[in-house]
Amino acid sequence: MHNCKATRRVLVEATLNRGPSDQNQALAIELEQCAACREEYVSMRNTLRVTDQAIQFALPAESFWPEYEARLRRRLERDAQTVKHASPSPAGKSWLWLRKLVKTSVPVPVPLASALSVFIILSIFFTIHAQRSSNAVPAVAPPSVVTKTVEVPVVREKTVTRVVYRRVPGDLRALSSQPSPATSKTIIDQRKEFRVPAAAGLAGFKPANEAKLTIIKGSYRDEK
Amino acid sequence: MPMADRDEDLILRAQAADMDAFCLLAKRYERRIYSLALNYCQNPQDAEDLSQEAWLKAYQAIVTFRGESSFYTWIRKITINCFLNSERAKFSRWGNQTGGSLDDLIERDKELISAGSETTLHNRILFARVMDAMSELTPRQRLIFLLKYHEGMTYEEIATAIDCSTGTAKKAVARAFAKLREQLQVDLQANDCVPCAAGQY
Repeated sequence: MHNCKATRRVLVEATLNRGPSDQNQALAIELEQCAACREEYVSMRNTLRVTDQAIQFALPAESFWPEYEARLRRRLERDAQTVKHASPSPAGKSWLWLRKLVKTSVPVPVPLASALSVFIILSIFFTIHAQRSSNAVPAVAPPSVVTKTVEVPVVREKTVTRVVYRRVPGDLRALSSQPSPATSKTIIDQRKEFRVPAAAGLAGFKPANEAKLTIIKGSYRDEK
Repeated sequence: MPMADRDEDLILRAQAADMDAFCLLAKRYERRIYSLALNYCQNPQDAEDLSQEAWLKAYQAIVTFRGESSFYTWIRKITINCFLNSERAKFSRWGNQTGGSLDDLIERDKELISAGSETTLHNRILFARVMDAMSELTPRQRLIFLLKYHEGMTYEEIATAIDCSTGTAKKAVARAFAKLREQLQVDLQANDCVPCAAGQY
């Protein structure tokens, strides 16, 4: 089934390729079938033919070229003279050489270039990282607070005071057992008199070899 | 072909600052480059300036030529770059250079008619009309059309040369072609005489 729209889409290409080629046999058949498309094609061909003709006419005559070449040569020589006059000094030459070196490109396979790039980037990263670590002031680690319950055995020393009562020859109880207002003053006086020799009175005392202790278990609260 | 005449030898000599060798190279391709320039800028004087500028740049850069493509492909690339750079400058149209319209052109060529050079006059009119039609295209459309039609480049090559997509190149060619047809008004009965075919003369 002939489709004019589709045929005309490929006509431009066929015309620019100077007519249907072997590959365009189908197009040639289409053109034979459709007069309108054939007319379109012929019109396009004529446009190009006319354009070709005009361009051929526009080309200069043979006599033009020697003059053209002479002018070109003069221009090249003028340019060469300019370059000579502006020839760089030794310093300038080295600068030019350096610029040339910088601009020089070396074809490198893409995988190799990628690997090199990654390597360089990683090297730079780690170098910078290492420098930062060495330059950094060692930071004092903040004191860490760890709560730990430790049972510490507490040794409680208990001072056991033993009260020792000693019967003295002049027993005070004997004195106090018969109190009388008349003799109270006398008894007090007698006690005072009695205390004086009491400090020296323990000289002959011998404590028992074993102390009998009674330990009552309980917290300090129980002691209240 | 003698060894000295091969492009490769001439290029080597030119790279060693041998201007004669470079001029020999230029002589081989100057017509094609000039023709391309003439069709692009539509003015013989501008075409000469543009083509010679391209040759000058090629001479300055000949040491960088590595032989990865043919010499013509290389010089054509330089020429295309010159075209693209010159897009900023407005090239005068054929009409401006010839002093006006086609009527002026015919007036000035009356001598040719009287001398029996009708073919020359006809061709001049034809050329003027084609150039007029080409001037209706944008410089970029014109360049793409020329590269496709005259240089026979593929769309991929054109896209690479002028830094655009292949789709853009295809569209530009189609539009340029349509504009040319519209301007030239060539019909089925057209013969060599476009002005007659257009019914104007």
